[in-house]
Amino acid sequence: MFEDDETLQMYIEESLEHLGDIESDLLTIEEAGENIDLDLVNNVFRAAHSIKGGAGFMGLTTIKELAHHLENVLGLIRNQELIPDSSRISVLLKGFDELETLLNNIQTSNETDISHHIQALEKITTSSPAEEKPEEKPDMAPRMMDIVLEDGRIFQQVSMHDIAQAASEGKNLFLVEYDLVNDIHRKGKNPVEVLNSLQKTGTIIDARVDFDSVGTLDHTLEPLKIPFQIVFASIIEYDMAETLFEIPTRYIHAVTDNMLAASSSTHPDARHKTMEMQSTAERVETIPAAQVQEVLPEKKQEQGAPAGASTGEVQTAKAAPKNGENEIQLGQKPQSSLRVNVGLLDTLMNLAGELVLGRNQLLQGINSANTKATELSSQRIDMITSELQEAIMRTRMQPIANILNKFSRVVRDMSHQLGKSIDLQIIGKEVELDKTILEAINDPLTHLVRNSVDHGIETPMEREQMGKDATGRITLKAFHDAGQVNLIISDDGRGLAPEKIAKAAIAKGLMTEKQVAEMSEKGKMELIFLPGFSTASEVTDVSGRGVGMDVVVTNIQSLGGIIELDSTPGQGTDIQIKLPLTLAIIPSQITSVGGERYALPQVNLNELLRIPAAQVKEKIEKVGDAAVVRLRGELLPLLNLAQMLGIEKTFTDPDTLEEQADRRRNLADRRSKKHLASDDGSDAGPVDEHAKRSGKDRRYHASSAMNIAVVSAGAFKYGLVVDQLHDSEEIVVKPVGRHLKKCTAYAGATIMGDGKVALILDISNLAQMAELATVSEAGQVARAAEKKAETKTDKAALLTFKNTDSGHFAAPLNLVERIERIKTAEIERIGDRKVVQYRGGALPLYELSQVAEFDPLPEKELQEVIVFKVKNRELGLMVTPPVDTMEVVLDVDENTLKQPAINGSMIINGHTTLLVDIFEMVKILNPEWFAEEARTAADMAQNGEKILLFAEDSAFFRNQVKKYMEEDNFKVIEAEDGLLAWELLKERADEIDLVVTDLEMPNMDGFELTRRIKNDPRFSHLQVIALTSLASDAHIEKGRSAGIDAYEIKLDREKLMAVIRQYLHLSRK
Amino acid sequence: MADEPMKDTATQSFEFSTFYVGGALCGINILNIQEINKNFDITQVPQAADYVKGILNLRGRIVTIIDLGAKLGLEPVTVSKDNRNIIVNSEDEHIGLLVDAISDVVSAGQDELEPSPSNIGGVKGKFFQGVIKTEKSLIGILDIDEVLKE
Repeated sequence: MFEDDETLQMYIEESLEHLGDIESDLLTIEEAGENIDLDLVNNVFRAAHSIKGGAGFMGLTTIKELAHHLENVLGLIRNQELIPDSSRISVLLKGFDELETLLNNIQTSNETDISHHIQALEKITTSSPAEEKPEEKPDMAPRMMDIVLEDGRIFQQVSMHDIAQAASEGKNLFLVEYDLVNDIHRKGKNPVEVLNSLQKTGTIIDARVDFDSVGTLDHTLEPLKIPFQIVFASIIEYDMAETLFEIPTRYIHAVTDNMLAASSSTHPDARHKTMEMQSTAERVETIPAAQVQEVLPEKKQEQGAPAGASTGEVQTAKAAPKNGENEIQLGQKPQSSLRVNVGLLDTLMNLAGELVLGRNQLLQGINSANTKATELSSQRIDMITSELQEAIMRTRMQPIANILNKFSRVVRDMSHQLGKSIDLQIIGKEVELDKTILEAINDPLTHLVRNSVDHGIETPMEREQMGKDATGRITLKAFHDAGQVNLIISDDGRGLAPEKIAKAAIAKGLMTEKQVAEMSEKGKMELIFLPGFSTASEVTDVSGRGVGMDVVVTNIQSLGGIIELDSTPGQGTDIQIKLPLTLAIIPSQITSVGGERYALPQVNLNELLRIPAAQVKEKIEKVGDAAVVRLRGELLPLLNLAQMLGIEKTFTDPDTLEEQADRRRNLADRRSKKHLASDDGSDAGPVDEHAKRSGKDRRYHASSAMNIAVVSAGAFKYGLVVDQLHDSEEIVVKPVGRHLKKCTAYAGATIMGDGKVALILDISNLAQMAELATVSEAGQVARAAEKKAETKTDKAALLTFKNTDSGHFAAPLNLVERIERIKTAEIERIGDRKVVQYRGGALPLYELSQVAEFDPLPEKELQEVIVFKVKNRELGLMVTPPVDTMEVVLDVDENTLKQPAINGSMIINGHTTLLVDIFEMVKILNPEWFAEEARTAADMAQNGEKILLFAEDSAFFRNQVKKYMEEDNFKVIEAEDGLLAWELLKERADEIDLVVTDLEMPNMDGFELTRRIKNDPRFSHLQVIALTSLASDAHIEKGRSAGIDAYEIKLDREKLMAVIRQYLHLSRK
Repeated sequence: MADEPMKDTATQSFEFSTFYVGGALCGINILNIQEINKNFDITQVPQAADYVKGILNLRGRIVTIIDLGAKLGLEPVTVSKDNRNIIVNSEDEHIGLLVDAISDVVSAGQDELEPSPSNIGGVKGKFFQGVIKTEKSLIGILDIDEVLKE
């Protein structure tokens, strides 16, 4: 071991780094197939080459040999003599894998058997046409050449291929003889650096250290030298070489063709015996003997290294020739290290300097009792500290690409194995994360990606049957958001089957049927996070390895991260992970309970809530045993931190002077107990006074408002009741001792500004301690149900009113202009019509009894009028209050109470409510308003009927819209979902003139339907109108990119029909 | 400390820091002791075992303070001005032992260490490496690893 650990370590790290890039490059090369990207191949080639070069220098023969063979194959690809097909790339990938393994086990690398890799690689090189030259021996892969120098010395065993390669590129070939001691070490250089700098100007074909010619220390007069020979190809001319290599030209040999000879020895071991270095005396000339003596001491001074280190080096150098083998012995497992940008280090140095300055100033200020100077320097130190902290943090940050890149390989290998075709897209490689977090998410991410490949993406056949692209897509996306790193793993595979999951959970005894029955689809999907759950019906070697999703969740949560699941059966799964940037310093909310402070990680904190004492009773409700607070319509379970931790609060009864426990049985009691005390009057005062003085009992404190921190962790969301909320602070997380490991309520401890310790709360574990799961699950079910109602079923905003006191009615809110109250006396009668002067015009007034069999309105002094706008004209409908608006899920019975101008009936707030069809009403009352529709009808009668394809999953809307369309004389083909629509479209392509589709539909949504229509040359001429309740900008944008021509919001009949007419006119042109 | 056991064990002498827990006089090899302080700015840790007094900031390290009385199965240490924290090193961690009061440093040869009886002042024998008899008293030498077992 003539080289120090450091150099070896550096070589290993650098090589591993090269390997990291190689994998993705190889995959890209494979993708490109015949269109070889020379730059990329060169990249890989160079990387393999540097590894080989370094290995030769370090005496890592096995690594060198493997790298060499890999390089040969790459050389052929580079010369376009070999097409990088899948099988060849596989061999290369395996070879590089082996190389990585060897590098990671450097001590044993030379003993490792790599013959099968070599054989596989040789098979590629020999079978390639380039190598099938007549003089070539078929069994000899890379032919070896010797370089014969003018002085007769021979440098053996150089790959002929490499030399030919260099020649074909018009490069000059050099044999450079460095001396490790004099040319490199004493000049303060490092062999790896030298190799690297050479790599910039050319290609290193071979690099060797000649141990045999190293003198022994016994011969003190002999100059100490370790010959290091490099065969180098470069476009640099011979006369420039001296400046490049920085050694005398005498040691640089330009290799010409006549110096090359076929290798005399084909035995690989021959290289160890390698050429006799030039006679030792030659070098002595340049260094007088006296100087040689100084070599060692000089080195000590230069390096500042312990004497033992440098002598040790020489001793091993001496020992090497005796062994004949260059052994690599690394004492201990190498410490993990990190590459840091030099600029960043400079910044750190700078800041450290500043800090010293600041300290000096501070000391001066204190000594001279100069308050102003002290303040100034403390500010300065404050600033420097934050900058220092940030800079140090940055040294720990690593791009996420380090772990994301390897997934190309994972996906590739797995998809081959499983016979699937999968396209992996990685977005946001540059996002940086703390090294520890990066390392910790590697396994969970691998698990998730493997899951996507194994369970998510279907086989190409299945996919085609589903009407999907045969190639599945997996996207890994990383991005920053709100101080966190978000990672999304999405696939367009089969998605999760909630029912199947639920059944499996029941079968495994994780859930009861009853529990499952109450769950939402999302809740059922989230069952896969339960410990002991694994959906794979059989354990495959691909993803079923006994590690469940629960481990993934636990891992992510232990990092302070959150994992969310979203899946649509048949369309794919999205898994979103949110992670903190770093673990060491976390922003926290400081709270206190019972006189002790507790830090609450900001990532878990959603908001702070303060319920004034007066409102505690009405805001806090009890559900079973649990206290809940209603927060914006959502029930939030409450946990009382003091109670959870069993912090006993006591107060001294002023009458008996006895210490009494002051533990409320539940939170809602707080207010009522206080009431009791106040009602007593006499002792309320003293109690309050005493509590204030003791400062212990906050319940009787005047400010007995309730402080709640609304927190969430994973599936849990709850309110944590604390005594006091303090500032938000950045805290340094410190581990707690082993005696506290069982206290799962804490994630660690931190030291506060005053030097006291505060515990950091573990929000997720607190929830588990409180057995909040059920509460949370209930809340989740409710939320999910609501969400489901929003997305899956159509919601509509309705205006409810009464006709007479008894009948309940509703009309779509989007047609309503205003609600007015007019004096009955102002109503004028013109013939049988009623009008009122309104905004400079006459507003016609109607009542429901005019169109259907309802009771006429009673005469009143004031009359409520709902002003509708239909066909750009306003009309008033006289009604009886209360008039109210509400969002309801339309679940309309269209048959039972059918009447003219009534769509049907539904139950709203316990009343049977009739839905008024304003259009029909207007049509009955004012048929002349619909002249345009009549014209269209006439037009169509002339030019042939127009047929609309209408896809909508809600039966109500389907019938309703169909009716509108048919009333305007269109013919309608209905479909219950996108997939059916697609089938219908294929069958009846010629008939259909226009497509109207809902967006949210099962099996295939409107976006996908549109995409297919627009991408299919048979249908791309068809225009697509989306009819939807999804009106957000994001949806509109998504619709645009899918190719939707017009976007109509449910349900404005008039506008929809106008757009349909408009598009049909357009398409007619 | 690593070199110490290299000497002849018979003649080798140890120094013990002695202290009172309840009525018992106990000792710890002085080489196990990091420091002795009277910093009682302890943060309580609810839900921890009853012998855990709390945690303390010892120059940036979080140190668990253990009530030695409670840990040894005696009465918890009664609060007094003589209380001290003996900070010991155990498994790469600093742990504080809260004791009633500290006493002298005693030296004794290895050969003076006698096997401990089954019970010393109400404390189970398993917590001791042995006992040392002086003219005035009997000192139980604590086995720190045993005492600090969770």
